[in-house]
Amino acid sequence: MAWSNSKIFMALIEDVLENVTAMDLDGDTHHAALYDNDITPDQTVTSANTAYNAGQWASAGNEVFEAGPWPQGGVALSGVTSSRTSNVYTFDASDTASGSGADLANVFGCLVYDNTIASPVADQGISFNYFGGSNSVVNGTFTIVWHTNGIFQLTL
Amino acid sequence: MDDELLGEAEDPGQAGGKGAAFGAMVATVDNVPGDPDADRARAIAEADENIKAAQRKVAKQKAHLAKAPKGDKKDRQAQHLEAAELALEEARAARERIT
Repeated sequence: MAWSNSKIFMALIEDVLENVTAMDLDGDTHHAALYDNDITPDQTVTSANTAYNAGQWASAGNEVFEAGPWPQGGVALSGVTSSRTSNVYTFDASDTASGSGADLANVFGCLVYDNTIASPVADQGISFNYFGGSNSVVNGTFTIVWHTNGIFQLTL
Repeated sequence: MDDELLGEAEDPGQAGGKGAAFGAMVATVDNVPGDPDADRARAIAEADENIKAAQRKVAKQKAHLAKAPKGDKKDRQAQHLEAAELALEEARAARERIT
């Protein structure tokens, strides 16, 4: 199995609505961690298994990083927005770029997770976003260009 | 939740909606030499922002706790405050690890 799509974690919705977690999309800091194609992301996993370095998101053998330009654990999202227009809620951020001199290979997608939340699940996942195939950079810059509709959206 | 409708509002008054996380494009530029000083500065900026976010979270959770009714809900809010304070400690420790 492998990457095939982009999804919002169901645990995020349930845990926030039930006040199980105090995740705060426009107040906390969030990271994007890069992954290869060895994993099979699943939106229905438990809260614990949505987290960075847990379940499919285990770093060892899966995460793609380079200390410095794209460190282990990912790069922080900047320019985060959490807003609604009419009946559409959108979570978005500025495009997320590496530092210079990055060597990254076989990058298929990223985990977006809350880097501030410490309990009950530390680093709980928000969504995973597929890049459509393999991507790499050689001694350069790597930038995630978020979709024009944002990182995720809810239309209610 | 994905691009598929979770529940279509086929009948007037029926709740419906959909949710989607979106795929992203990647832009790469090869041969841009590394800059360790810039990487370090960015790491420090991220760590400082993490501390600020954690401080905001502690303040917010204190406010929530003050407004929470008694019983299970107050206990839950107290747990959230405890977690926020833990996150603040961790954010400060992470900042100190950056040399």
